[in-house]
Amino acid sequence: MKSRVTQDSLTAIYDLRYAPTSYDFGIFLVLADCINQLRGQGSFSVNVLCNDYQSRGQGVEKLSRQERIWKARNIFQSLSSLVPNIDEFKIITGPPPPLIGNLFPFNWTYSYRKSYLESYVARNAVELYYEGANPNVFRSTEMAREYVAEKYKTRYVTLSLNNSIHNEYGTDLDAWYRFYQYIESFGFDVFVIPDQEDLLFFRKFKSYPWKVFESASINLDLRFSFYEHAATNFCNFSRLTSLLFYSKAPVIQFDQLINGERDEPFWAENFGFKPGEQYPWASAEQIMTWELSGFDRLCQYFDAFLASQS
Amino acid sequence: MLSDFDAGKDKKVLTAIYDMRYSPATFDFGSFLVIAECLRQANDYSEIMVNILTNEFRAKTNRDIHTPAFEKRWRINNIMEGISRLLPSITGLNISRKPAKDVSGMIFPQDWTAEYKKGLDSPYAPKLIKQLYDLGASPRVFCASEYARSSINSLYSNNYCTLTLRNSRYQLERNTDLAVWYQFYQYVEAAGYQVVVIPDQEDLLSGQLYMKYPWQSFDVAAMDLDLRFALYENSVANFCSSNGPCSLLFYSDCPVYQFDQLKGKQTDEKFWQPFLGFNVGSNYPWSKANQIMTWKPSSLSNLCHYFDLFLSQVD
Repeated sequence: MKSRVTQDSLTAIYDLRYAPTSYDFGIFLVLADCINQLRGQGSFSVNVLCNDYQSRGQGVEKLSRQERIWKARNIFQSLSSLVPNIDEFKIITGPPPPLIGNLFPFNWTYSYRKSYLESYVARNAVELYYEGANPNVFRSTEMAREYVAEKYKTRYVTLSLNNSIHNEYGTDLDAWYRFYQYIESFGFDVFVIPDQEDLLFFRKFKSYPWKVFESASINLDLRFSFYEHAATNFCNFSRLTSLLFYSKAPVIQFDQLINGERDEPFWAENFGFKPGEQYPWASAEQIMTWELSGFDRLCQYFDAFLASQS
Repeated sequence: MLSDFDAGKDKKVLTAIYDMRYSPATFDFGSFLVIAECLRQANDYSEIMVNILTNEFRAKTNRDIHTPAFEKRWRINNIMEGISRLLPSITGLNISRKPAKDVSGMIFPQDWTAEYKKGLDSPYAPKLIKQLYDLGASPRVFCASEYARSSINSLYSNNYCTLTLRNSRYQLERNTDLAVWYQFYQYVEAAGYQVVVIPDQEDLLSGQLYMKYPWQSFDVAAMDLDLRFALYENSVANFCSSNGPCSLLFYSDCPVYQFDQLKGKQTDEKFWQPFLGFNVGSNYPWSKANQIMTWKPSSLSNLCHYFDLFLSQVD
């Protein structure tokens, strides 16, 4: 991750000619913030250029036009609001204004360049961390924290479900409901955050009598404040839950290797570390288990969490 | 199709500037956008770029003064960003904490400058929309996205009514009487309709007073304006008190029966006439037959009366 250094504040450009309409945008923000930190700048601006949509990338080609527009509107502004150092956010669907100065990516050009890659690869965050940057950039807003702290006064655990139709390896709801009951038996409040797609279309999560915080599924700021305030958060691997490792929220993540496509080269190429390893900046409360989320494994990690509390 | 951004280079863009030095962090942003849209139509501009400038906040009203900056930013990120999604002609949104800079091209308000002007007010009063309507503009401009509509279509039948509650900590006297609205809920259900309640966002995220009643609610509509509008659009009738999100319904094609306009001390007849540009008791001149400001309190008898009226029109 090299870039020209000037005195201007950073102008980050997420160009959908090259980049996906997905939570990979979060990685892009992490990289921009890290570069900004290394340059000693206080704040930076973000420009999302939606004039053309990239048609490749994991999951992206499966999106319909209406889904893509929904995701563009939900993901980009919502994630940007979680980065305190962003002082200007622009989403532009027409031709962009001239973008000059201290750009990220530094070699971005107005003209389209075939084979150009936008910067949203997580392994670059590892490089920037070793250069001295702090990748924990996501933080819920004060208002969201106030709402959650006011409403949830006891210690609670969250379970985040992943039942997207784009994910053929979705959460096993039976196993996770048993796990929900297991945690409850230790006196904890447990709250489920349903998958947004399931919430808005299928409602499979409604088949179980668990406590659900639906608003956290639709509002990223509330979701993050809910995670930050929790005793711990259990989840499957997803692009969204992976962003918890760029925050101070506790997280115990499963199912990293459930999909045959996510093999060892995938992790090395995309994340900069091997299966079994952790994000180098992760706290003791932020764990990639590299295990499948079967009932026994979930309980094993909850027991380990309990032991760490005593 | 990948391009060098050539497509649309010649489009005429109206830049609408909602400057928080002059503006409230409220649903009044919606009427500001409708005015901008009417001007876009009148001047044959193709699209709108919205700039929300948040470097400084207005301190004019009690609410301005007593609302902390972090709450205003929440409202900007959630309410104002949400409203801007409902207007298809908006092709760009800029939310900036930087000091204002001059903007070139066609701007709205025309007399806005980066330099602060004492006494300047942000144009958001509906009376301005009425003036533009009288000149030929079409103010029913807000609509839900296709995705939100498809979600609502998958979750609900096409035979439901909505009840929108108001339980805010601002102007408490304007809040919904939940016991009365629950009786009304049962009345509508008894007529064979599914009823969907949309709680007040503040109540949803705090005390959850609405949960005292066993009605069916669609909570995420309180968090997402796009889903809320999709729910309203697909509904046969929407009953609401006078509140921020429901004020936007009159700038859409959604059916609406609105009550409680005169409830409270701050929204009396003296307030409404100069604000709306028409007399209390009247309706927006562009309203459809099923878009009604009742100007009545939301007592059970009034609510049931308007529901009966709705039923008679259905028959």
